[in-house]
Amino acid sequence: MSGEARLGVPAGGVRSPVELIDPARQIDVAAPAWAPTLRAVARREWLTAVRRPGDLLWHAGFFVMVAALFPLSLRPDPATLLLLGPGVLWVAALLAVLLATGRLFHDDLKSGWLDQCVLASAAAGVPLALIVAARMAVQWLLAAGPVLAVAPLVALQFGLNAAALGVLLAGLALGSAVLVALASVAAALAAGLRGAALLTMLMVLPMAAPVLVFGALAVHAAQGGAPAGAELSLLGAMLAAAALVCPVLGALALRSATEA
Amino acid sequence: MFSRLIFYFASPMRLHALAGRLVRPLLWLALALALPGLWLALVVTPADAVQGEGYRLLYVHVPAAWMSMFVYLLMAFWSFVGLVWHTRASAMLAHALAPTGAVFALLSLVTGAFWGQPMWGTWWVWDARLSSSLLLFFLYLGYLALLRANEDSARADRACAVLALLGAVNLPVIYFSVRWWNTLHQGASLSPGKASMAPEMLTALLLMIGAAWAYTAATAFKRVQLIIAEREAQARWLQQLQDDLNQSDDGGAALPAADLEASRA
Amino acid sequence: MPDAFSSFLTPWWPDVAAFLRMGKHGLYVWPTLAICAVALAGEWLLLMQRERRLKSSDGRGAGENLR
Repeated sequence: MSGEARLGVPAGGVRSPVELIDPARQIDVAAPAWAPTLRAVARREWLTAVRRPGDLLWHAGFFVMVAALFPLSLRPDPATLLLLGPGVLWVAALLAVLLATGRLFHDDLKSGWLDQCVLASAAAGVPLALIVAARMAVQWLLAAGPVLAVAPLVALQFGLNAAALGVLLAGLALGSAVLVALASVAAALAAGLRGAALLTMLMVLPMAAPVLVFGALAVHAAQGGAPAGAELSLLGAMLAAAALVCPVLGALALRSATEA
Repeated sequence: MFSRLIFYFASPMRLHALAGRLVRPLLWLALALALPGLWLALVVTPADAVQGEGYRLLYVHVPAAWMSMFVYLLMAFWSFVGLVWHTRASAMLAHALAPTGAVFALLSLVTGAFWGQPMWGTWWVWDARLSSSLLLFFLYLGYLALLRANEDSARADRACAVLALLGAVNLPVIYFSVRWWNTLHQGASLSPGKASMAPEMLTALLLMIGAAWAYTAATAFKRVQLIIAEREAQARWLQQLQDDLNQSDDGGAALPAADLEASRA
Repeated sequence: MPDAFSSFLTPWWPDVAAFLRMGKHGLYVWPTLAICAVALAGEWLLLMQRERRLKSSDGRGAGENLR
């Protein structure tokens, strides 16, 4: 709106808020359709992240570092590692995902992107909750993807067998999605406030406990050869609930943030 | 009828008046319940066969734990009312309840530890109830941190309401998950003796719970009065600012508008 | 009735020393009760302080800082 260079702003100036998030003019405002808006939001998120690949590497690197600190500070004999492995891996993944999502909406609020989002959602007839859900989905890929990619290597350090590793990856995929959903709501609540990143973590940590518990239990079970179906399906159920509730709450939080 | 009552007191002014009338009686009620309760708890009731005299901490631990959970549910309730019906007074009530709830959560942890050490030989154990209580305390801290970080009161009300609701929905999940985790790990279960209580013990416990409730209500009403007064004072201050600006506009170029904006930001 | 009433008046401890000792748990019971009392009293103390601050700042006029 002030003419500063922003990603995707068409050169000839803009005629409507919708154009700012969709410079390729894929959205037909006269006939509101959800798919193009969401695709535009997702594309913008993806491009912003991909242009800073260092961030993605950082998510993976943080995970590896935290997981490595634990054996260094304790006895690294195989029995201890086997015992600690699931818990340490899950805590490290939790911290990595939370750190990645902590400032999700903070810069967006400051730069005015959130106001445009709210306006565009009204203009295109797309519920703000859907836009938030689209952002959460992309954020999950960006935050959890690197962690999942690196997890097998780190799991080797802790001597996880193949079954346990499989359960770890499945659990991480589900659990990190829940964490991203929760952290997104927290980030929306804390957007623009002083100490937003820390505040987000403080808010999310108690609510992340069930994910941690079930995820670690699943891997423990797999280590012992028992089936981990129950814990994994509980994670899935939490994801289903979070996917329904968190976008709505996040939209509510974002609206009050932009109205302030 | 209940909803009409809520809407009647949804006006902060009326709530302020109501709160003012209730604080003192509630404090006296708390004292009136606590004194006989403590008397029964410390002086009259016989020692527990297994645990000896130290079990008397139950009479402070159980009320604290109960209140910490009940207050959180109340906060969630008022947050829900505030979000759905856009009443500011309910959000202010939730803000007023939060610190008291946090104090009780902390007290339940502390009294539990002091009770556990002589009884079971350990200050802390990771069983379902203790771990959930710890996480409940963290939930309170998150709410209070969000409240403090927000300067705009409208945004604070809605943000804290969302957080309280999210936390309340999570609370059963947290408890369930920690119970699951605990039973699988065969951890020590610190449940106080489920044996039937002697009537004096039950009476003492009920009196202490009642005293804790009355104290919480009194404190919450006092605090909501302060919150209402603070917000009203801030609104008056801003209004005065606006009036000064208008006056100076009429009289000449006394205060440049940019200066005012900068100092208000 | 008088029987039940008297049972509510008779303490379990033979003397005050036994009361304070609480059957060797005194060291845990009394500090805990003290902590509770301090916490609740402290909460009200903070409330009183907050009230005093509000009253004192209310007296001053609005917009004073700008002049």
